[in-house]
Amino acid sequence: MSMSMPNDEVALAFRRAYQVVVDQVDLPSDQVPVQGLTHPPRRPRLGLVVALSAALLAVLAGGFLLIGDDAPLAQPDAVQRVALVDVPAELGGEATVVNSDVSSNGFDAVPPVAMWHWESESDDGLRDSVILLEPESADADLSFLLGPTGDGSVPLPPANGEIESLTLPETGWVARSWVDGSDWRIAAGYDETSVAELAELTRGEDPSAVAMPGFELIYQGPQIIYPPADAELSELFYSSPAGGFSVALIRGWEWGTALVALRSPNAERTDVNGADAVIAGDSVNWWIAWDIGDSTALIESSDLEPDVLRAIAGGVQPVSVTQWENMATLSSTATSIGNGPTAESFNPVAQPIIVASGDDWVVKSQAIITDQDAAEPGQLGLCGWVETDGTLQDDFGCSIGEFSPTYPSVVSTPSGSVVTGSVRSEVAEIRLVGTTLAGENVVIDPRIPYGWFAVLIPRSTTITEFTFWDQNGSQLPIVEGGDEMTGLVTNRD
Amino acid sequence: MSLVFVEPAHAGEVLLRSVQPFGCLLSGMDVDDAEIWLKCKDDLFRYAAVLVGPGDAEDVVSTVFLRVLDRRRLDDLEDARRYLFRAVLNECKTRGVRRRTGFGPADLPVPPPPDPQPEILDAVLALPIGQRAATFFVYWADMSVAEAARMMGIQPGTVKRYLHLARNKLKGVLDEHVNAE
Repeated sequence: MSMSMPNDEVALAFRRAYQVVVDQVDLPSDQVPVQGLTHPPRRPRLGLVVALSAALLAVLAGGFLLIGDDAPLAQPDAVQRVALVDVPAELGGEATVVNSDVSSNGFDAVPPVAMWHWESESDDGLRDSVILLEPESADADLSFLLGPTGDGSVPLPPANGEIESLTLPETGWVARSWVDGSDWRIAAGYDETSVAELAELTRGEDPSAVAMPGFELIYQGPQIIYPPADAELSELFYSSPAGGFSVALIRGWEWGTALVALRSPNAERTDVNGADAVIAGDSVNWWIAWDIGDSTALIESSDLEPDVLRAIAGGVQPVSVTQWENMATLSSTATSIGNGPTAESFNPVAQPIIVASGDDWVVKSQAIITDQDAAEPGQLGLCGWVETDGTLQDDFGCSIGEFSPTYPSVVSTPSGSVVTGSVRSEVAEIRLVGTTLAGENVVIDPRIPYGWFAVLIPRSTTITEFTFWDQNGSQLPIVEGGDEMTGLVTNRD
Repeated sequence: MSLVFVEPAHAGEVLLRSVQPFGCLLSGMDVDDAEIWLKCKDDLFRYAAVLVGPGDAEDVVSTVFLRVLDRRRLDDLEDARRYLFRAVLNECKTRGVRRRTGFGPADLPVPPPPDPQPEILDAVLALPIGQRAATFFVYWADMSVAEAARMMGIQPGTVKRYLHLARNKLKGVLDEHVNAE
């Protein structure tokens, strides 16, 4: 399936750039790397969710569309975290938290769109869903974000007002767009005939009054396409005899059950403790999602079958933040992060130093130097990590060479949220809202021109803004991967 | 330009012939794992090269391969190829922490050809690693967003977000380039 767009200058630029890079690769012979290869005994397949949890930690929250299809719950406003409370027998009797994460991975400014969703009354799952979207403007960027599951954008409306179509046979998606009066409208679904019919029926009409033959209008209202920037994803990764899975809550982002149908052809409605839910899968994962108040609960696994996921979902309950953090903390002794911090894989030039510490946590940094055979040999660097109760909990890696203040990391400890980040020597002080960090919580290693800072954020603080300042009183930008960012840190409370 | 591998007609035979000269089989690597390595290695090297630069690609892939084999058999995995790609991304992310700004044209062993323009190449290589991985899979390897998401172990929506951000950034550079001309 080709997702490249021949007339897309940007895609072409990417293609050319990467071609330059891959052309420089000297592909090695067929020799296999040899370094005392020994295999552990064969064991049951451990889930990719568990094995690759680090890769999944920060990225889950960006992926779903939602509608406001509230599920009744006893305490919807109180739900801030969820966890597996009742372990179902299908898991083999136990489930251990092996990792955890809290992050925010939403979009800063994706305006809500008006949406109408019709669903067929057939027994064919949700495949016969069709939707109509009406964004506030015909914006190219929004067009891209509104694009179907497969790729790219829905077409911007043509200047002549005709209906433009886009078909992606590999994903089954069909979308059509047009200008209706002053409105930009997008009809989408899996069935081309239904989408075409929807486009024609709603053209020039109030969509709410349109009767789609064989379909029932099940939702109309505002739609937030992606999680907002302040949506919080809290996730626990479990291991069980039956396999690995994750239990997450996307707080502040209500999903519902409708548009998910258009993200997975095999999505099916189900229920979780009486609440409306959707279960779907692809070649790797199965996942089940349902609304809890104004948030979305989500279970995902590459190991477990749908029936087991349903059983797990039945045992997932709201928990307090404290309960959740206690579960997450337990994972620090169960998870296999490695034998030691990344610093150990370099050449330390000094003993680790303590950047800051609390009753049950300590952030350490250690100066290192790169090997002579490294790409940048002989460069000094600084590594950082956090330990709880003497055990490595989170490894921040090592910074080598020039760098700017970076987006802080947030690590959960029993005492609260420890925020850490790297700074360079120009940083004279770090200001939080209401607090200024200097001296004891900011350590610049004298041997290298940068250091590390760490601070415990009070539980009463929900969002803290970090700013970095030099000795002249000038604010230093925060840069992450080339992107300048704001230093907003969401506390785990 | 595809990351789809073609199954040899007699994979076992081919592998035994091609791998046995090397000592790895005698060290404990079984034929299935060697087969997976041979199938994946070239694309893994290319992928790693895009993420950390050609100079570090071999080191990244070798490190990943050895680490994975130290923990499990590849043929125990449901999709070893996908697993290895994710592992390479993880390893590159770790190294990306060490070298925040990614790699640049200076890391390439020879000067880049005139097309694309250096500033465009700079902009692509300066993208955050997730955006680079997503754009590599979608725009270079011709994968769909859904496929790229599976390879990266993330949700399709996140891939779309990466593409959106990366495209925006490169679009700005392209516009500047056009205006400069």
